[in-house]
Amino acid sequence: MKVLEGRNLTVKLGARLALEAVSLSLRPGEVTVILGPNGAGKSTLLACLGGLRRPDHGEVWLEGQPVMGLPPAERARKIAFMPQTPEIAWPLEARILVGLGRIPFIGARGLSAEDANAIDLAMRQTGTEGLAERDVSALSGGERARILLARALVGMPDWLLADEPLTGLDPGYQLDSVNLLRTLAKREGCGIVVTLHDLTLAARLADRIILLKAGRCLTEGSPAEVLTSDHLAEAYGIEAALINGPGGPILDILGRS
Amino acid sequence: MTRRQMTLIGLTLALILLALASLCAGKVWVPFPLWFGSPTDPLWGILFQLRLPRTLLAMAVGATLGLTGAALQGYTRNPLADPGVLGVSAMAALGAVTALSLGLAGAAFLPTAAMAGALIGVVMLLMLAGTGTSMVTFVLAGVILNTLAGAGVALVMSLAPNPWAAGEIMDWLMGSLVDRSLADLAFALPFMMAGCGLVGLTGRALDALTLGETGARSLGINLSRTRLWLALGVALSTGAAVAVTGVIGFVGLVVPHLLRPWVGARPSGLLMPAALGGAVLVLAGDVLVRLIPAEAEIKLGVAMALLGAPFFLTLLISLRRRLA
Repeated sequence: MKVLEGRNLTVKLGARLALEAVSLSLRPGEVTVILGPNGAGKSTLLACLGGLRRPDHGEVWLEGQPVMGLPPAERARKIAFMPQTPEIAWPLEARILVGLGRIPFIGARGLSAEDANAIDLAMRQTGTEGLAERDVSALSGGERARILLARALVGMPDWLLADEPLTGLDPGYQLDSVNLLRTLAKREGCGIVVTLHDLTLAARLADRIILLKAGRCLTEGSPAEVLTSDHLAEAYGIEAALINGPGGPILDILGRS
Repeated sequence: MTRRQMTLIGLTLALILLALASLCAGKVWVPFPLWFGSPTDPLWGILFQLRLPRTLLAMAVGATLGLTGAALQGYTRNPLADPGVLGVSAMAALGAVTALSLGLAGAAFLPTAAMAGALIGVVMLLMLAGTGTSMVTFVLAGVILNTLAGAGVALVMSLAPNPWAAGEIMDWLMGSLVDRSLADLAFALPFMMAGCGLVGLTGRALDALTLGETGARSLGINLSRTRLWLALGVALSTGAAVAVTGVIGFVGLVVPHLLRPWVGARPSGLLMPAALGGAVLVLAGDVLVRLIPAEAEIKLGVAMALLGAPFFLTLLISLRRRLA
């Protein structure tokens, strides 16, 4: 069974519990959005799911195998991970940066023709072909975000885990990214898990939402099931309502509850 | 042909020409035809017992410093890193000086002590900087190590039994390739090569680290293994290099920075050119100090520092401009 599953995940940060007994099961072809206030444990949960952090209790299972037991390169071929604050240390050419995503695939001989094709495809998917020769340090924030997304997609992963991938993008790029992520899930069957802060974007992007508060899973389900006034009041301390706008659901925030 | 390949060919040609010049040049000029002359000729002795080891050592030490500089910059993601700035060379020197002052300057003991010092230095560096490799903590850890090693060396010198011993240590510290023998070369070269080989293994991990630690780990890189290869590799190669030549700074800092515009900034692609570039720079420096007419030959380490300090300054200014 092709699922990414967290069982009873508990993570301690000092004396505090960053995650407390969180269980969830994610399916390919679905976009799952992890929501929750600052410090709720979203990033910690994502890192556990990606096999980058060993939970203190519980285990993450990828397609029937414990994710921490997989050889790192094999795990990296299946799960692409985009950290929250992306770092690009050197002024690389954009194409070379995207190529870094092929590291789990390349043999001793360096990039193969297959790798080159994958790089071309990922850059086409993200609309960054025109930037191939450019120096990433000279790109705009939106261009850089798309290059980093291409870097994640270049391994054609079964799972894409991204920590706040839409933060800092203008509405146009946000829309492009939402469309691209949904297409990847629906057409390629990729399982997509992202953390977000924007509730309207979450309502439009997600097939399923997991709402965290203080390390616990408050509720999970479809956007309409999760984004209710009661849940939002409990998680964020806000008075809010999901209303239907002309372009889809809008989360209207009325004030502090 | 790519720019990188052209640069590699250019550096190789420069290295060959400089090696030939290095065999000829010095207080006594050894002209080319003599190389095939009789072994009884005194010039032949100069050529093979003095110039040849000196030339080979300059190349090996330069390659070591260039390569480790490029690798440490890649690992710390900081263009201001090199074995000198991070205090590894100074710790190797402390090890060597301790051996010298104990009168244990045998061909085997001095390099061993220097490598042990370098290894302690690298381990302390990694411990001080923690597993998170931020630019600031690494440079601060380097400052601490340099201060500590400096104090250690001063202590050893002040405890020296006689002025002659202190003078010998001082002389050695300044970094030079004068009067090194084939035996020095034979002992140090395998360690430099083994160390450089270990450092070379980290190329792919250094590329992945461009995306930060989390990014690298998500690409399946085992960072503990990277740290192990790098620490052992830098300790062996820098330790052996410092043991034969004393401290020669700035090579590891300057060379990667000069080559990046030519070969690209990808860390693994920079390793080989940086090794060649380091060899070129040290060999050129060593030929130069032999040609400067002076009462006593100017020490190579001093010459490099005189060239390197202004370079360090301009690098800092350009970095500050970029960050502003």
